[in-house]
Amino acid sequence: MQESSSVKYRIKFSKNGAIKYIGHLDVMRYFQKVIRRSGLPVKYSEGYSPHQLLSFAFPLSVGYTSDGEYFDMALTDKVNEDEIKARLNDHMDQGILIEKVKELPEKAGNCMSLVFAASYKIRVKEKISLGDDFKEKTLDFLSQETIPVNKPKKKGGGFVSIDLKEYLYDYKFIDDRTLYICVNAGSETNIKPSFVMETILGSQGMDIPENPFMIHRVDIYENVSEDAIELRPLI
Amino acid sequence: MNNNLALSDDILMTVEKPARYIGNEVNAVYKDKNKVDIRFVMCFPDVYEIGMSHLGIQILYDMFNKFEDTWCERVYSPWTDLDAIMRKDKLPLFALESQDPIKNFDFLGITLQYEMCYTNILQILDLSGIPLLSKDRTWDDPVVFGGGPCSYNPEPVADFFDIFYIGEGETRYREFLDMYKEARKEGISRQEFLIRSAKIPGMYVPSMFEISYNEDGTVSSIDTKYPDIPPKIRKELVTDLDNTYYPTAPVVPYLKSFSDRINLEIQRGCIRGCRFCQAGVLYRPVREKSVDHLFKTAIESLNNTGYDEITLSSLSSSDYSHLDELIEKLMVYCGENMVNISLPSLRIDAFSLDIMSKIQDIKKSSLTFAPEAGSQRMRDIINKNLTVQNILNGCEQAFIGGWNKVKLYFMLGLPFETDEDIEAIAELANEIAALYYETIPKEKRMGRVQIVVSTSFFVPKPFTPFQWAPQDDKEAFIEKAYKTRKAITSVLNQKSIKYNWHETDTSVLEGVFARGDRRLSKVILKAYEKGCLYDAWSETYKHDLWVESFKECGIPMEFYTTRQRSDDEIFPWDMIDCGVTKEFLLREWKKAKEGVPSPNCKEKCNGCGATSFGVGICRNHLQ
Ligand code: SF4
Repeated sequence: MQESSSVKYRIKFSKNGAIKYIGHLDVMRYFQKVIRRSGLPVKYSEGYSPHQLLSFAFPLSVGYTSDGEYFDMALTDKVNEDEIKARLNDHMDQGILIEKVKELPEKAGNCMSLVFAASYKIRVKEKISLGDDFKEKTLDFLSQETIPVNKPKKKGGGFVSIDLKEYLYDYKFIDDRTLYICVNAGSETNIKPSFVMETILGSQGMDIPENPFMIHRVDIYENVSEDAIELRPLI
Repeated sequence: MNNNLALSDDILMTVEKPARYIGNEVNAVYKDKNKVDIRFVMCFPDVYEIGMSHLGIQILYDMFNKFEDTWCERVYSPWTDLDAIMRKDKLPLFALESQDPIKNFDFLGITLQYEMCYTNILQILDLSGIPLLSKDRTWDDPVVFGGGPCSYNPEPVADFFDIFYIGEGETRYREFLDMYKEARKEGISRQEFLIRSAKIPGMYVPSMFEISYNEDGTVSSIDTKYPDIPPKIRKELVTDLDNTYYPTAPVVPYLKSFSDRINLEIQRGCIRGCRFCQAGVLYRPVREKSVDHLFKTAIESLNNTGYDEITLSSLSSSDYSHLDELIEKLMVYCGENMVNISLPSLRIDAFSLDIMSKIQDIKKSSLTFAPEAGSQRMRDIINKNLTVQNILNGCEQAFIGGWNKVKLYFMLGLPFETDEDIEAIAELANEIAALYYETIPKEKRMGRVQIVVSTSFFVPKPFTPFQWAPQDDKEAFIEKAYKTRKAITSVLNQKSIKYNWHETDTSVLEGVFARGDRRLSKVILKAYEKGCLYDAWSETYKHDLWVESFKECGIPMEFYTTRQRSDDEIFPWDMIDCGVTKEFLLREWKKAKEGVPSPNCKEKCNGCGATSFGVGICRNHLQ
């Protein structure tokens, strides 16, 4: 049998409002249905229970909002990028919006393998009282040459010692309680935004209650430089 | 869409699966609350994923929201984690769509699908801040409605409800809501309103009835308290299923529910007349939908939801007259559109095997038979029209077709059961295994045949011929399960057979409530106060607390379960008329005793009484 043809697209979407409480797997299932409702000629796998050929870039934790989520989708026919965007958006009214659609070259790597860094806005909830010098102390802390920390291991408990500074690419205050950061998002070296803020609060001797932050992902980046770090959004 | 959530971010981030509480699902209905007259909230008193799998609520949700003056929303039981937080922080229970407190609604409708949800009803009322007892409510509280199969004997929960709707919901709500609007305009009392409600067909208002008891605890009489209250409430039913409400844009949950697909109801009712089966009586007579209507509904629903699977639902799909035509049409459409079809409750024969081989992976799927009893004698008693030969023929064809997994469902504790009947379960499983090894030569076998035998304990239900039958006690149940296991381990092919059996404690309690009376309301209330909740879940079921509650109320469970009932006993549910007469049920009970089966509604009319509705299959027998 001949491989049937397909055209790949990368989709960028935002996720805001109540739908932030929907987990990654459920968002994937949500999109499968959106795509079916939109009638786009999505490509399916072969076999008894064919599934749509979709691949998501980087799971977003439950409770986070985002303006920069991505997935790749294969269609059996070429469809205009704006039309894809409009048709998907026509079938969604739940707080997810398609921001951008881009056709990919045939040989393009999938979005998951490209993920290198992600940026976030972290807001410290009002239930934590911050001193007048919070901003200043935080900037001092982050501007050190090195920031040695013990990061919880991904699996099996325990910690690894790393230099946070090496994985922190950018930071700035948005307002008194909200810090913008851009950190590594590699599969092994991923830095959780909550970990960064916990480290900052910890360095100032503060107690951290349950659910201390509101976190918003701004974007996800690939590294387009071979020997340095040069970040560019996935599309 | 509504981003104004009732629960704080802190709470939503603490509880398991916050998606249960935020609404906003695809096809959820949002209206402007200032532009509607009636706020209705439908409740399935169990956790979200279970409630969202239920078709009945989706039908009524669709119907109510088609009424321009009504906004119908949904609520499900908060799981135990949120329950604890809401009690601690004194947060009121809210509806998913508007996130408004339930207390502010005009109506709270609770569907009663199984007896083990009764304490969850109290949880809903309690967390909403609605008085638990109907008699304590005022116009400041919603009118609390009950419906669903358990409302045919609603007596154990009678004190908690203002009104029960008896029968299929599609028919009387419009008239009822108009009456409600009128009543509120006139400014009549809640009591006066309930009296008016009781006069609308299908509405059972328990507070309008006085129950008296004999010294032995049985009911001596059922009387109405006011003049003009109809003494019998007759079931409501839809006469033309092609021309009524049916959702073509059901709400699609984000969370994986237990039914993650389109549910296409192809008919209502069942021709079979199994004597243990309550649904088979309650939904009489059988009414089929037309192929055109079903096909159209299927396509619209798939388009509106994006589901990639559709299931045909009915009590016995094989009895649907146009099944082959419907499936053929669906298979073409679904094949082109990457939709899976699933067909539960199909009889296993050449036709169904052929279809199954086309729509599913044989290696992964298993054949399901529900002989319900092991011996022919017992199957004649329960009127299950399925012979060993039927089963073996089906299996043989299936084995040749490549299947090698068989699931068998039985009941233990059926009336007049003997040890031989129990042993026959093992023999039947053994025979099926032997048949596999005879039919399939060694070199073609994919390992052993896998037979799974499951037994559940029989619970007699109201409105069945077995409503007179004594139920086994817990010890008898356990002994029978052990006997089954022993019999299975002593047959030749025991290595190919796996045996499962279900809980006993909950079967006893289910039996108490199934044929219970009003006096049980106080036991349920007590058990709830002691902390019983989610009794349908084995992990949260607290049997000791139930036993304590019965004891403290001075009510013996055995009165409701193991007691022998006389032919002329007045049952607590005798004010409800489901269309099938008590005389017919008694006739069937006597035939069961003699081991005589009855023909099904297609073969011959047994004169069950449902012909008085003048619809469905009964019309085929009118001269
Ligand atoms: S009246 Fe006859 S045909 Fe109709 S449901 Fe009863 S037994 Fe069946």
